Amino acid sequence: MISGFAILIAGFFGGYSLWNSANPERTCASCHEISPSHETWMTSSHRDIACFECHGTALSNGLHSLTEKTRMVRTHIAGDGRSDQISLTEAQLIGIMDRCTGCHQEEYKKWGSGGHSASYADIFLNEAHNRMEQPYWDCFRCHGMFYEGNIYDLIDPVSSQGPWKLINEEMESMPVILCSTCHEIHSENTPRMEYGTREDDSEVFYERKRRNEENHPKAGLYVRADAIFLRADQLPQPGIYTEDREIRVTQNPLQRVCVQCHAPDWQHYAGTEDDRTPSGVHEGLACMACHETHSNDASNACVQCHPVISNCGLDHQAMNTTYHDPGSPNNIHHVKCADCHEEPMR
Amino acid sequence: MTRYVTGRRDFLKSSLLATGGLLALPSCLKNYTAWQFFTEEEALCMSAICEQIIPTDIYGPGAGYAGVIFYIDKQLDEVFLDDREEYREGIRLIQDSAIQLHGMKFEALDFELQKGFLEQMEVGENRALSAEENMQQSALFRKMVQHTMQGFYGSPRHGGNRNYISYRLMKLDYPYIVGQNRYRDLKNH
Repeated sequence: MISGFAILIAGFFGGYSLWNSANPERTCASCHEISPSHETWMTSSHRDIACFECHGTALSNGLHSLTEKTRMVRTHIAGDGRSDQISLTEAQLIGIMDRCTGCHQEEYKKWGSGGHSASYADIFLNEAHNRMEQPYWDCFRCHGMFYEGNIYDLIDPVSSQGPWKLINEEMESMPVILCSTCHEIHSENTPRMEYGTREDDSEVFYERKRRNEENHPKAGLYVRADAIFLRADQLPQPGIYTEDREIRVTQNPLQRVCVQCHAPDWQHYAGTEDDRTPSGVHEGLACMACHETHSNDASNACVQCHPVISNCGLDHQAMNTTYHDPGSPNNIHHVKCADCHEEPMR
Repeated sequence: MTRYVTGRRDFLKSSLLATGGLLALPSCLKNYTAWQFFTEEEALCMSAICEQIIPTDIYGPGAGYAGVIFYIDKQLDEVFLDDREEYREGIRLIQDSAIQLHGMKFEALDFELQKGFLEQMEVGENRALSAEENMQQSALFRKMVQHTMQGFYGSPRHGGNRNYISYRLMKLDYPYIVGQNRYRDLKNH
């Protein structure tokens, strides 16, 4: 009796493990609602990662995930589900983010050490900012873009007077910018190739990618207004202006992601509002030329182009800019020759 | 990170409904299509019509790439309920008359023949149709143009304009690149 029960339990879990590790075409994608997601996954850089490794299983989060999966079965059987209605909730995306860290530990640590790991409390309970600008719906364009509600559901009061509090205090520590903000996990791309897995050296080129597959930018932006993810090269190339001309902006598509949130005023004047597009002596550089993409760290930025032993003999790191001293009048993003040199240089 | 709590009542309710639903499993054996309203055959014809209305050209992709057919299909299923019969009957007449005039279905005609066919439909001069049918088809064509434009230029949220392709063709800065709405700036403008 006991051994029969043990065999039954072993059989159940064995079968369940087999189900989770099987080809998704035979499991998850056998539900027609999942087929489009399966098709995009098949062309993504994560095509070698099984569904459950990111999405979890019916048992991975206790009763909650079991209920979630049961609800999916119910919707499927009732015939209420359509593929275009499938989207992940903010809680699910945070769950997936936990699993991203299983492989992308380095990126996660860098993200955690930079400004993009800000929490709901950091952003929406920032007193100085809220007094300057009343929280409103457009905040969600760059912070909390997956939040399932509007500003009145999130914060009280919605005014520039305060004091403010989050209506659901449990959200205070939740991050407002998730991996999915800038990375579409199913986005078409090629997987990185590990050493020793290639069959033919000639198939491999720069960064161990397959030569015969097109490579797309790995980042983009989730556009809350239309609930779609746009790859960086599909975002608009910004036109940024000074008083007398349009400045040169790098053609690096990742710059288009940065400028969506670090954006200038409506007239697109360089340096206005949150714009950090390099102008002046650094015109044409990409943000990524100085900032690490996940941590935004720029601590070694100057020496990338201005080595200590340089022809001019200047220590650029010690020059009077905001890089050296945040209180300097010469913003490193926009500093011009004339800011330091009274006479035109010859 | 966040942990999620589900009530026992919620769990039991879902479980019971799902278990009951398992009895309906044979419903999974139905042939599902990607379409909500159209049949596979209708979708092929409608896709070709949309691509005629906004064709791929030197300036960029047309209605086919933009997924306009998905917009029309979705709207006919959810919003344009009064237009359903007109579309269904209209597509049937298009196919019947294409076979009668050219010996093949509309989507199988070459691009120029399709164009000529639709030009006749627009002005109500399809030789294979009666005067009354021509009037109906002419009205339907105008509706198809309208819906195709909506799908091509509207928000992707509604099913078309894939990846904002029409906005990029028009060189619109979208999503808008605009900074914060600080009070100090509002005072200055």
